[in-house]
This record gives sequence, C-alpha cells and structure tokens, in this order.
Amino acid sequence: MSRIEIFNSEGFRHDGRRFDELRNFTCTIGDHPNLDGSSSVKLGATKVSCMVVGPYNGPPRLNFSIDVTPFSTFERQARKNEKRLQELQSLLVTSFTSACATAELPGTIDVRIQVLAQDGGLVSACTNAATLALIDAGIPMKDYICACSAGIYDTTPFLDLSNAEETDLSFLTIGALGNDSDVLMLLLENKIPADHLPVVMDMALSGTQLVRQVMDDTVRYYTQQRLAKRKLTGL
Amino acid sequence: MPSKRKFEVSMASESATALDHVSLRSVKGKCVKIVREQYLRTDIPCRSLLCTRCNTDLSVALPGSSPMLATLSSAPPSTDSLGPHYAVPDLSALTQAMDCFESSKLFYDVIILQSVLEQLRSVSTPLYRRLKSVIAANNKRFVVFHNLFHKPSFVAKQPAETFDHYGSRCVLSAASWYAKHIPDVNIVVVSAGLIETNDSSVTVLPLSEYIPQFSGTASLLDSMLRSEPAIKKNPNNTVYFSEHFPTSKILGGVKSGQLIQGKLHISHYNSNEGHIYSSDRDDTILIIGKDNLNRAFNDDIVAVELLPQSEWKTELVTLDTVKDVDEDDSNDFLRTDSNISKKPTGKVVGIVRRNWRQYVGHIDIRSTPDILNPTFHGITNVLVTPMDRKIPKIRIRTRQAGSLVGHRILVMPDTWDTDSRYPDGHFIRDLGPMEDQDAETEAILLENDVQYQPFSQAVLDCLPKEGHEWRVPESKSDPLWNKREDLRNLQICSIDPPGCQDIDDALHARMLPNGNYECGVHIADVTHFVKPRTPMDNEAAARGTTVYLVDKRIDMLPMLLGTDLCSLKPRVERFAFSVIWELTPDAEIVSTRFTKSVIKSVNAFSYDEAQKRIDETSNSDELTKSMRMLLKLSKQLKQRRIDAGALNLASPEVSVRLENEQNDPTGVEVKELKETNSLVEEFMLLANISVAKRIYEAFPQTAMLRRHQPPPESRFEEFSKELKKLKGLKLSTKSSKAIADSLDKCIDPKDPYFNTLARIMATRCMMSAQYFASGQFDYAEFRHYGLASEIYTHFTSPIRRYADIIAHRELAAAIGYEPADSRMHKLQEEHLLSFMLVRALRVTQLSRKRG
Repeated sequence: MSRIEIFNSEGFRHDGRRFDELRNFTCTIGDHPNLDGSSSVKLGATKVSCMVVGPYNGPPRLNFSIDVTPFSTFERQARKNEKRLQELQSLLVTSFTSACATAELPGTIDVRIQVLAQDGGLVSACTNAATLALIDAGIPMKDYICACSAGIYDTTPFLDLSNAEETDLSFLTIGALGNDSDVLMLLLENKIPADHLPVVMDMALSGTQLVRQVMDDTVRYYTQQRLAKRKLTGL
Repeated sequence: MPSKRKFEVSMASESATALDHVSLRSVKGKCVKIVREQYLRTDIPCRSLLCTRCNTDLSVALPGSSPMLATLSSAPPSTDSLGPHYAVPDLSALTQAMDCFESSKLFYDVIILQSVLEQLRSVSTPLYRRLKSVIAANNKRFVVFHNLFHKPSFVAKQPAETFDHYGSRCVLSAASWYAKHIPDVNIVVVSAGLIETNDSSVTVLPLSEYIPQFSGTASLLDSMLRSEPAIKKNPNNTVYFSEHFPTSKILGGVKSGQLIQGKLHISHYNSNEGHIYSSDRDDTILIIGKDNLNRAFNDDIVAVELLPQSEWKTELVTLDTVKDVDEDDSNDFLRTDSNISKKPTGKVVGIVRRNWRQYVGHIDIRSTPDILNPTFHGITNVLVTPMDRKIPKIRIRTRQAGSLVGHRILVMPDTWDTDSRYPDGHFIRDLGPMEDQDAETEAILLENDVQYQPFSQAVLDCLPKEGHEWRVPESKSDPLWNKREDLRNLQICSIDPPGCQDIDDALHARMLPNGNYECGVHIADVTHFVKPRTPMDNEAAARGTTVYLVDKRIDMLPMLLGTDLCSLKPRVERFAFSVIWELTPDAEIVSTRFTKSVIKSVNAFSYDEAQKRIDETSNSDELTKSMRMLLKLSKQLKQRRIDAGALNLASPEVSVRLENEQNDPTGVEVKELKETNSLVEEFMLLANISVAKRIYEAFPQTAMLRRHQPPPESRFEEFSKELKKLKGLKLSTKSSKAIADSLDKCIDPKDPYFNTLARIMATRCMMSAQYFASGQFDYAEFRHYGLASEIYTHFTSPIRRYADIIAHRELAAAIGYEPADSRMHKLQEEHLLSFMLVRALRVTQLSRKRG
C-alpha cells in the first residue's frame, strides 16, 4: 500500500480537494521595477518567478532559461535533470514563438524563470509566469497562454496534480491560447489510455479557463494601478 | 480530440483555506523537507439523517464515486444511561476491540474519524482493512468523517506533541463539533485509553463500560480481556526470553550487515526449530530452540544475529531424530555428527514485522484441569493449541472456558512479553465442536485463508438481470453479436469428469477439403460477464481460484455464472472464446486463429462415455468421427511433447467416496486415467501455448504467462540417494528428458505402485510453477520445464482460475475485440496480482491436501 491514499472512497484527494478543484492560484506582476517585465506565480505550494529582458538589439527571437533552485524540492540537490529542463525550455520557446508575433519583434527577448518551490504543476506554473511577465514587458501576444495539468486516477480525471499525485498518476499539461481554448501546447510524458484521454484533456482545458480568469483579473488590476499612478504623477 | 465537454471546475480556496505543512524528516540518513498543502473545507457533510443543514450531494458530479449520502440513522441505538447516541471510537478502541465493531450485536451508527482511520492505517494494516470492509458493507451505518479536512473541527499538531495525544485531541474536537451540530443525539467517545474532556456535551466512556450496556455481549467481552493486566502464572518474575533490540539498532545492524533480516520458516517437524534465508550469504541460517527463536512466530520478518562458529549445527532433516519434544527441554538436541557440513545458527534479536493472523486451535485441557468443573464460571487463563503445528500455544483469558473445551476456536495473539512462556492472545469466535464436519471444514478454510463467505450483494448486482433466463440474442444485429463468429453449426462437444457442472471447455474437429484438419478449442467466455474493476471482478481476483473440498466447492464466481451462463452446457447456445487451428495429418500447426464466438455444444460427455463412444466401432456419426480425429491428433501431440522432454509427473487424482451428502467419507479411490483424459489435456495445452504466444506478441511487457524453472540438481540428491540405496536404481537429472526416461525405468516388478510413488517423489523435488508478467524475465527464462514448452499461460479454465480471466482479456485486446483495459498498462499492478494468484493457488493445494 502506498504511503498516502490518493483518492479515498468518499471522494477526497490526499490534500482535501475534490477531483475538479484547482489549488490556490495567485499571481503578481511587476515585482521587479528595474526589469522590462516580471511576474511571480504561486500554484499551491509551487512558486515560480519570471523575469523578462528585452527586446534588445539582436535577431528577433525568444530565449528561455529555467533555473531550478537547489532548495526548491524536498531534498537539497545539485543540478539534475538538465535534459528535462532543456526539453521544457524548447517547449516554451515553440509555444511562445507562435503566440507572440515573433517575426515582427524589434529584437531578442530573454525570459528567465526561477523555480523557487516545487510541489507539482511545474510546467503549468512556468508557462503562466512567462505569459504574465511577457505581458508586463509589453510584448504583443495573440492572447494569454494559460496552462493547467490534469491526470487520471482509475477512471476519475483529476485537475491540477500535486507532487505526490504526479509521482503516482499519469498526467498531461495543456497550454491553451485564450478564451476559445485552442490547444497550443500539450505535454504527456507517460501513458493515458486512449479512451480516457478526451476526458482528461477536457478537465485540463476547463482548468485553463479558470487560470485565465485569475490571470486576466491580475493583469487588469495592476494595469489600473499603474494608470492611477501615472495620473497622480502627471506623466 | 477533446470533446469540448465543460467541467465545472473551481478553485479549492473558494470553499476551503489552505494550510501548509512543512516538516523535516530524515529519509535514508538525509534531511528531507516535506511540504504538504492541505485544504480545510467547510462543506463536509455530517451525514446524519437528523441534519438539515449539510449538503450531502457534494459528490454527485463525481464519476465512479458513491455520493456521501446521509447514513447515520435518526433513531440511533439507545441505552438507559446514554440515551440515543452516535459512537465515536478512538484509536485504542479500534485496535483493542475490532471484533466488537464487526459484531452484529452492537456498534451501529458509528462515526469513524479520518484522523483515527489514518492512525489505524499506520499502526496496523490488517485492522485498517477490516475496518474498511465494515464501512464498505454499509449495514452497520459506519460513516467516515473527514475531520482533518474540516475547518471547524481541525486541530493542528503541536510541535512536540505525541501521536496519541494529538489523536485524542482530534477526536475530542470533532466530537464537540458533532455535539453542537446535532444537539438531539448524544455523542459518545468510546476509548480503551485515557481521554479527558472538559466539554460537557461529549460523553467519554471506556470500552469496558460501554460494551456491557448491550445485551448478548458477554462473549465479546472475552475478546476485550487482554486489555486488563493478565494474571501471570509466574509470580517470581522469571524472565524467559531476552529483550528484543530497539528498532534503530535493528535497522542499523541490518544495514551494516551485522544482523540478517529474513522471513522465519518454522520446521514442519519441530516447532522449536526454524530457519531464515539470507540472500547475501546465499545460505539458510538455522535457529534452534525456544531461546534462540525468542518469541518469533512462523512467517514473521525477523532480525537474526549469528552465533559463534563453535555453536553451528547440522540441520535436523532425517525423520528418525525427531522426537516429540516437550516444551520445556527445547535445547537438548545432540548434533555432533561431524561428517555433514555444519550450517550457521543464529538467534532472533528483534522482530521487524509480526505476521500474526487469526489462528484456529483448541483448548489444551492439561493446562487448566479445573475448568472442567461444571461449577466453575470465573475468568481463567487457558492455553490454546493451534491447529498449525508451527505455531506455539497461545494463552487466552476467557469466562466461558468450560463450554469451549473440545471446540475449535479462533484466537488472535496480541503480545508476548519476556516474562511469559506463551504469547497472550484473545478469543474471537467459537467454530463448533471438534471433529464436527462443519467446524473442521471452516477451520481448514480459515487456516488456509480461503474466503468462503457468500458473495456480497454488490457482487451479485453485477450478474445479468435476466438470471437463468439469459439467452444469446437471436438477432445477429444485436450489439452482443458484434465481432462474434457464429459457430453454432459445428459439431462441438465437451468431455469432463462425471457430474461436472462448470464446463470450461469444449472441442471440435473436422476434415478440411485440402486433407488437413480443423480443430477448435472453445473456452467459456467469462470475461463477457466479468468486466474489469467491477465488484465481481475484484472479488474473483481476491479469491483467485475455486477451491474444491471433499463435500463442497468454494466458487470463485457466483453459481449463476459458473454453472449456468458461462458453463458450455450441451444443447444451449453459449458465448465462447475459440482457438481454431489448421493441423496437418501429422499434427503440425498450419495456422492458428482466435475469435470470440457463439457455440452450441452437441453433447457433454464424461471421460468414460467419450471413451466408450470412440471405442464402439459401429458408431460412425459425425460427432464420433470428429472425436476420433481429436484422439488421433492428441496422441501425436503427446508423443511430440514427450520427445521434447515433457515430464509425466501428474500425481494421481483421487476422489473421495461419499455414501451420501451428509455422511462421512467411506474411502478414497484413485481416478483411472483414460485416453480421453489425455485428449482433452493435450488440446488444452496446445490452446494455452498458442494463446501465450499471441498475447506475448501483443504485450511484450505485460502478458500474463506461466513458467516452470528447472529444478536445481541439489534438490534431487536426497531422492536419488534413497533410490539407489533401496532399489539400486539410478536417477539421471541432466535434463527433463533424462528425468522422464529414468523415471520410466523406475519399476519394481513386485510393487506396481512403486512407479507412481517415484513420480510423486520426483514431483516434490521440482520447483513450483509461477505466474509472471512477460517483462519480468528474458524470453529464454519463460520456459515451462515440466511441459517442455517455450512459453505457456493459463487460458482454458476461466470459470475457476483468475489468471485465465486476465489471459482472456489480454487476448481479446490482442485480437482487437475490445480495447485493452488501462489496468493492463500498469505493469506493477500485474506483478502484484501474480503474487496474489500464486498465493491463492498454494492455498488451494494446501486445502486439497488436508481436505
């Protein structure tokens, strides 16, 4: 028997959530006033911060770098999984290159993501943080890219897996472009039976809409604050 | 791909607040930071019918989960002093009196707290499982209340708080919440420990005061007795055993190699001697004498310290040295025979995990002669001698000793202290008088861990609604006919032992225009009725196999399926899973195909009837002809198998003669083997092999296969030595072929039974065959030694073996009949399942032996 009960017979997950509940998702933008764009995202106990520099002189393209701090997981460890991070970086580059009008960019943009704490949902947290930081930097984008993960336990789809669930279940991460939920990014690293796949994708897509709502509210809130500040200072 | 179905997802923080647990733990010597988020909700229902405020439809939208319906009755049990009340047991109550919670006499409307459930899980897995099954049965109205997810009743653990103290705080907090939430009913916290509360709305009652308030609970009190300090027969505090090492020392010792950890196997012949196998040393370590066994039971995982080399001894193997050993002089074995190599001996210094279960036994009258006095009615200590000779006597305290003498009783050991010669246990249940057929049958089933309870309602609900009226649909456009071949026109018959009701298999053969034969094996399509992950499937998997006893059969599947709907009865249309070959006249396979089908068996023969029909030369109807074809081919198949080195080890099948249903057995007869037995056997083997190849091709990692390893030479040493000494015969063990040949020569002209005896002895020397998933081993290791086949599986008896059901599902997926079940992708689960099946099969063998 595994250490934790993933899903008990009364329908609770190990952390008290229902199958269709997202963890606490909060975000801020403009944390670093000196940078062109910045954001931080908290998804449950996962914390990610993102910085954007650019556009600066250079070929029109997006660079991503992901830095996983050694204290972010439960065991302090030197860099590992370098390959996994590279894969994640290239996934983000392709997704964002198609979402931003990259060809018309005036120069190179560096996106740097720092993972401060990990408790599952790393890919979705990184994607959401990058979206917010790019918006903060004023980079033109077609729409928000909002990501959310979903997995499957037996036949029940689970929204937004925590670390403990990710180790036990098959799951996928979807990045959707905007409101009409075009799937821009789909990452599935283990197996999900084909007949269950649509349900899991639906679950993740429903999650992205919730995420989009929170991100949109945040962006509007910070923008209004900035506008208010501008009026005050008379700029 | 997504169907644009919208889920009404929400953020957990809308109905709950998050709480972060950060704790530091040491895992494998490293400091590890555990971050766990927990959501405290306000929408958890109390699940009482008296409550109008709680929303119980919370999980209605949840697929596959039972909604949290209000279960606690509005008229709960009531006693004079407590009034109508809901009981809230704490951890100590559950660990000490699980038998009471399972009893039908008391404990209705019980609130099991999540905190208690989790603590119980960490303390004892068997007890946790038992409680879960009481909750799932739902006839005693047990509800789980998730107090750790419930904001109003949640209490956080204080930094240096003990496990027990925190547990009782959780219980009290939840009980107070309930008391305020449902004021009409009293909330009674039942505990076997010490809990104090200053909340007047909650009553805290010790178990020993709670139980007697209900009538008919006297015998249940016996099972509680161990909580009172047992009166030791040992007033002068003699210490019989040395203390076990503390856990940390054991773990360290095992890691550094000073101690050896292993499962203790007690000798069949002497309960004071056992051994463990150490994989590091690749050797067994003997543990001799009660002092060295140091309170370990058979099957416990123990840590052993090696004794100095001067105390190493030879294993006690020959029967003539076994004496009936009295309990007190256990160490007096003289093993000075220096010719035989000495084995390391050891001493148990700690028990890593107890594998205690419930044991069947009887009261040893010698231990307390005064209980026979009819006027004696007090509480007394008695010793119980378990049926399993490897288990030491267990001391229990009981009020009903007089009436239990001469009965089979079920007891459970609880503790074994250093100052006690015997383990202390408690009485659970009286099975009935000894040598009574029912009591003894139940004892055998319990001892072998066979689940013999009738099928639960949940399982029966999975049966087709039509019951015995179920028919193959007439119209071929019915979805059930989808991808099914119509084989009703074939001359199919089944050949089984006389009186067989669960007919798994049927056969047919016919001549093809090109001179080849078409042969078919048709197996009952059990998986059409038993869908994966239904309660019926789970139950069948847990049972593993049908168990045959002398006078009864404990079915793996409900009767309706086993003996009717799945059974390939004659002159009835039935669903089947068919394997059809084209064979040349020399019995070489030209092609094989598999299909789900509908068949209509022409006749069901017993072996005798089939034999007579074939032998009767005047019979020339089509069915007889096809049976002759099958017989001819089967002989060729058998010859080829024997040439390849297959062993004929089959121990003789015996049948027990009964005068009538109620009577005791009157004799045992050896079943006579006819040619038709071997006809059926050969085609079943061929079907199994063909299916094994096909599912391995489709699922290289997860195919359910069966293999049989060649026995190591050393196993035969003893046997061939004896053969040589007694009869001057030589046994060659180079290959299976060599063994088969030399066994054929083991004939004593004076004793016709000698050859069979030799075969039985040889069988005992073999390894036992095992189930495995194909990913576990290399192809070269798949070999089935006894059958001399490269690859093998079980496919032909799905009514009575669960392994066959898995093979059926895999084959159905392999031929594209239905999509593979997601479970099959989980390799690990399958491993687990295979272990379970092995266990189940072993159990079957054991009970057959004894039964």
